[in-house]
Amino acid sequence: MSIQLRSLPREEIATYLAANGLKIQIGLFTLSLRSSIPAIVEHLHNLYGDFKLINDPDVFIDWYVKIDSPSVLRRFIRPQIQFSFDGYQPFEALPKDQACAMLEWGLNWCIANNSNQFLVIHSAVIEKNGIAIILPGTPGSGKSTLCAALVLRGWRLLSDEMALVNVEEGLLYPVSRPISLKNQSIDIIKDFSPDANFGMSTKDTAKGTVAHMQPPDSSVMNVNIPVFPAKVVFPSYIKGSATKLVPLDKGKAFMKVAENCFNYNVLGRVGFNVLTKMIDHCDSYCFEYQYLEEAIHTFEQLNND
Amino acid sequence: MYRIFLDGELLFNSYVGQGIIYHVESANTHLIDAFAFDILSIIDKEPGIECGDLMSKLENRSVNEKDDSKDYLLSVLMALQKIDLLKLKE
Repeated sequence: MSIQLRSLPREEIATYLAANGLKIQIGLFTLSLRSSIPAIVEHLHNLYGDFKLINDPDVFIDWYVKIDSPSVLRRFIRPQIQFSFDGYQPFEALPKDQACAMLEWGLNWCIANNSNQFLVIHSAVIEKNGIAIILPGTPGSGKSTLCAALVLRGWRLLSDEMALVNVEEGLLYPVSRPISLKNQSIDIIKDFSPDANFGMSTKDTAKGTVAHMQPPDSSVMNVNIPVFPAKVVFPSYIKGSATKLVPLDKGKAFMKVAENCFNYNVLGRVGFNVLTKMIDHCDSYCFEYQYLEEAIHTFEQLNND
Repeated sequence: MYRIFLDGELLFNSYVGQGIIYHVESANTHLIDAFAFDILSIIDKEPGIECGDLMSKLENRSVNEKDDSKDYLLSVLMALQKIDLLKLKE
């Protein structure tokens, strides 16, 4: 029987991380994580408490990840950290105080680059009453802010960063993880829901200030339940804009989703066929908003249509 | 007289008033209008079709005024050739 990470005290998490790795189930994926960085222990303890640990030594591990100083020197002089995936470093080293952000970005990279059993769309995904809505968007579109607000009002989080559409069935598979918020979105969501649990804020990253919000426990518990996509909504946070939901024709929706995919071209005809099926079955919209309460009201109506 | 061929394998999906074309070799995706989509669909079924025959096959479709002119058809063919979806051979 698997146990949740919350059952481990910080010291034990640190021991696993420093030894053979802490093995965590993240949706369909299995992660073995090693690190000696205290902030990573705190990050996991604070935001990954509901995630299941893998006890079975025979379980296949998808990602062997290490996040640590690149050299002994860099532990002490202008300390840095490096993300490694199976011994490969896909990114430049970053200042040590960005370790938690780097872990989350690195896990995004693991999914985006190693999941060709899915069409991977850069988007948030939420679900309520069996209606799953894909929110594709580039950074700054307001998708994560909107996603955070919706899950704080009872929507299930499938992902704040990537929609995983299985190429065979067309089902969306959840990969619920902490929601990444940037800059003013952090305070917006803290004001919106003072009970929301955040990890530490990291300043001066390439994306500005970054903080991660704990995913709802129910979303993490239900991470094994896939769902068919029902709607595609392209959000745009526009200051001064009235809340506006405008239907989008299928041709344009197809092109916009294709532009937001990580591996559409890699999948070739399979990608085309999956996306065709998805767009055929989904209603698509462009959505402009400024105020979260109005945005949530619109989504509740959309959910009841 | 031109004979018209697709420039590689294309995958088709039509929507109201427009269509999506996927060019397998280049992995490029194109959103095109229904007229251009119909042209490619006909060429897909009849590779090497001559321009005049293509014109007559398009006569029965719902077209706006400029659609049924030969000049307009040629301009669409040229545009499709430019994005490597078809090739014209004399």
